[in-house]
Parts: sequence; structure tokens; C-alpha cells
Amino acid sequence: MIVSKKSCKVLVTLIVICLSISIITIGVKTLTPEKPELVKKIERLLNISGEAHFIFIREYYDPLWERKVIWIHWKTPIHNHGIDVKIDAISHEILFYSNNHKRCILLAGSDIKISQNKALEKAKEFILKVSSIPPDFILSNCTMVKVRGCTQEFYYEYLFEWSRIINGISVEGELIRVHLHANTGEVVGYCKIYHGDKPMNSEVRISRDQAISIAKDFIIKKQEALIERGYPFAHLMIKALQTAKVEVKLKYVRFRSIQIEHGAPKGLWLCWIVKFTFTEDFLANKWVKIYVQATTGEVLYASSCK
Amino acid sequence: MPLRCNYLRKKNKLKSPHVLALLLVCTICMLCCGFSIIFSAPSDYPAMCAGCDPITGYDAWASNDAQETHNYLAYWGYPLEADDPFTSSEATRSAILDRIEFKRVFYFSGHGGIVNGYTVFLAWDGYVYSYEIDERVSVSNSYFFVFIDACESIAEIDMASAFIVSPSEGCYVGWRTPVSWESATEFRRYFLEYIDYTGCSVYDALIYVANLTGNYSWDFYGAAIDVYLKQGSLGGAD
Repeated sequence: MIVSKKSCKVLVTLIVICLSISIITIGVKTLTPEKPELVKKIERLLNISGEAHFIFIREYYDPLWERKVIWIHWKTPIHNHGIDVKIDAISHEILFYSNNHKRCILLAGSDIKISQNKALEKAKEFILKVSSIPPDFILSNCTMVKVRGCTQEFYYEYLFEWSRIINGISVEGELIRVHLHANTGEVVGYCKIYHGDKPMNSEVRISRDQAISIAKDFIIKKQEALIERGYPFAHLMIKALQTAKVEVKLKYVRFRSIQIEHGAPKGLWLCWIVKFTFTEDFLANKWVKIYVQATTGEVLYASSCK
Repeated sequence: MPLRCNYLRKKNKLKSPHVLALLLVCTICMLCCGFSIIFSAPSDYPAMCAGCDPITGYDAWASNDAQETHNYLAYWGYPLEADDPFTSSEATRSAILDRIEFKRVFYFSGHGGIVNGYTVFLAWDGYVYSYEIDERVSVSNSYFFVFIDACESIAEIDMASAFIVSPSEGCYVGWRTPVSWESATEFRRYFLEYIDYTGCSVYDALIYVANLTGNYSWDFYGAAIDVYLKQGSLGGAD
């Protein structure tokens, strides 16, 4: 069989084109991770747009939820904004959602177009779509925050928080939070931290005044020890304590992992939270919070400003 | 017509493979030079981390904050001195002020506030005033990234201005209001971890952590959307 030079050239060209297409396809497949079914399901549920590129899925232990979670991350072409979802590794309940693409100042305006009531309605709708509001949760906070956008221009977000209540006393450390863009009315963030465990103590044997006195003693002793150890400015707080404003709240507290790492006990505790706000010089507006166990009077944790 | 043919032949000779290769090399060189001006790698930015608490005894927190930030910066390729981070009694005014002129990235964890109308942060042996930073930092060593992880470090703009953070190529991050040690540490930890995993901009990391913690007390000055700490300036993650 005689093959002409021309047809030979055509044949070689075709082979080269086919090979190039195969190499490019293999390359793209290697670089783009395959989308698991779970990711597709989440994309459908949260209406994550097609222009968002799935980047990774990762299972790990998250100390914030004290359990294994699956973290899914997407990126969008405008400003490389990230979209993140964290779900419970076992139940697949959505625990966290953050969509910076929907916050992008180039896509969403900065003026307020949605009323608070409408925003609350949308926030509730969102929670019911992705999860549920436990029966012991009540709406505890409705605020509007001014956020610096990606182009430095400010925009507004509604922040709604539902907190757990036990016998009429609120719980610190368990909540549902929804962030809603005040211009578009879209939910741009969501976080649910709920453990539902029983309190370690529930009887109040220490009075409010006793709690203040315990807290004051604790601070003075701690600062005196610091002075002895050579802390050059430890005396400032003892002086400032004399004129500090005092606020006291009775709350159930579930200490966060970062607090447990620094000595706070695990579990849910009924505490007097005694807050001293200073008024003098450098310490002005700074505060110290002492967590006094309401049954025994033990100081469980001390929190201070930077 | 013959004239034209000769011209074409000459023209074709000019396009010989050698000339083409030379042109290609020149183009690549020019592109590389251009990119090196626009993009800067972390290795171009000497960094410094410090942390101390001479008031309330959270010195271990401050030291740990400085150490963890140091570890991330070192891992991402930022040059750090052998004795960095400067913690506890090592984080003195002179340790910070003597070095600040030669750095381009700075992280400090500790107390901060406003004293005599100036934003300050508290070194082990006294306040570091914004004007003292201002005296040492010039346009030629303007900062790429600064995080003063202390109360009210961005309540006023003077500290950010003192570091001469470029509004288009660098950014300054701070706290507008008083913030607790645990909230700030939690914030800083998630912030660095998120950047490490996703390679995102400083802006995206700030918003992500605000979403996670509900803490919106931070603020920034500069091009947080264009500062990619893991890659250097304007280095997109993808």
C-alpha cells in the first residue's frame, strides 16, 4: 500500500492532537480533585454556585465541637474568596458554614436593604433547612455588626444568636449563630455548638456578695504572687481594683477547649461570673472575669484582657 | 517580483531557530524580572515575633502565641533570627526597637492601649509608643504584615501608620477594643491554621475566624485581600 506524504502528515497530526488531548485530560483530572457525593449534596443544599471550585475535604478532630468533623473547602474566582463547611463526621449535620464569596463587596452592596424582622425570618429558615433549634434554646442576641469588606469599604451583617437555657439560666459556650448580609439578605455564616450535657452542679450556696469577695481575694493573691516573682507591672491591677466597676452574672458555663488547656475544668458548671472593669489610666476599659463555682465557691477560671 | 522574493527569503532567515530561541529566552527573562517586582516571596520579608505579659501573669499565653506564630512564619519561609521569638523578660523595649528597623513582618502578643493619645503595646520593661516605631521605620523598609495582638491596637490609626504598611501591598491587623487572652489566642490560632491549610488571603482568614468565633473586634488597615502570608505578596492561592 502506497501512502502519500500528505496523508502521512495528516495521520501524524491527528495522532499528536489525540495524544495532547489525552495528556491534558489526565493532567486536569490529576490537578482537580474528584468531587465526593457528600460534597455534591452539600453544594445542592447550600446552593453553592458552579463557579466555586471544590478544593479539599478533610476529616479531623476539632476541639471547638469536641468531635470529629469533615471540613469542605471551596474557592471562587473573584478575590479567591473561600467557602467553608464543617459537618459532623458521623451524623453529617452541618455545624459550620462561611461564605466569603457572598460577602464580596464586588457582588453585594454595602447599604442595608433588609429589615431585622425579615432577616430573623430568613435566619430561622436557614437553621431549619440545615439543622434544628433544640427545645432548650432561645433567641438571645440580635445585633448588627459593621464589617470591613474586602475592598476596605464597610458593609453590615445581622448577627442572631440562640443560647441554651437551663432552669431560666443561660449557658455560656453553647449556641447557634447566624450571620446574614444586610444588603442581600443571604445567610453568609452559621455556627452551631451544642453538647446538651447535664450540669455538674445546679445548687446556689454562695451568695452574690460572697462571690465578689472570693473573686477580689483571688485577684489580689494572684497579683501579689506575681509581684514576688518579679512581674514589673503586676501592682497596677491591685491599685486599679479599688476603683473598678463590678458586674455579676449567674450562668452555666461550658469552658472552651482553649480555657480547658489553661486550667478550666471540663463539663457544664453553674458559676457566678464576677467582672471587674477598670477605670484608671492604661487599664481603663480593661476587665478581669472570675468564674466562681456557685455551690462550693471554688474559683474555676480567671479571664483577663490583653 | 524577484526583489520581493529576496526580501522574503531574508525575512525567513531572520526567523531561524536560533533567533527564535533567543527571543524566547529574552521574553522569559523579562517576564521573570517583571514578576519578581510584582510578586515577593516570604524570604524577602525578615520577620520578628515577640510576646510578654508583665501585668496579669498570662505570660505563658503570650510566649506561646509568639512561639506558634514564629513556627508558622518559619515554616512558610520568612527569615527569623536565631533567638526569635522574644518572650517574657526578653521582650524588652530595646529588643523590639533595635530590630524593628530591619524587619518587614512583625507579630506581638501582649497588652496594649492608648497612653497620652498614642497607641502603645507593653514590652516587658515599658510601653512601646507608636511614635517610637515611626522614628525607626521608613518608606524603604515599609512593612508587609503586622499583627499587634493586643487590646486597642487599631482603635486609632497611628500604630498602623507608624509601620508604613502599604495600602496596596501590605496590611496591619489589630484589635479595636479590649479582648480577652483566650479569645485572642483562639482567634490567632484559627487564623494561622486556616491560612496554612487553604493558602488564602489575610482578609478571608479574618472573616472565616470571625464566623467561627463570633468575634468582630478585629480590624485591619491595608490590602488584606491581596496579602497572602503563605505565599508572599499578591501571590494567589490557586
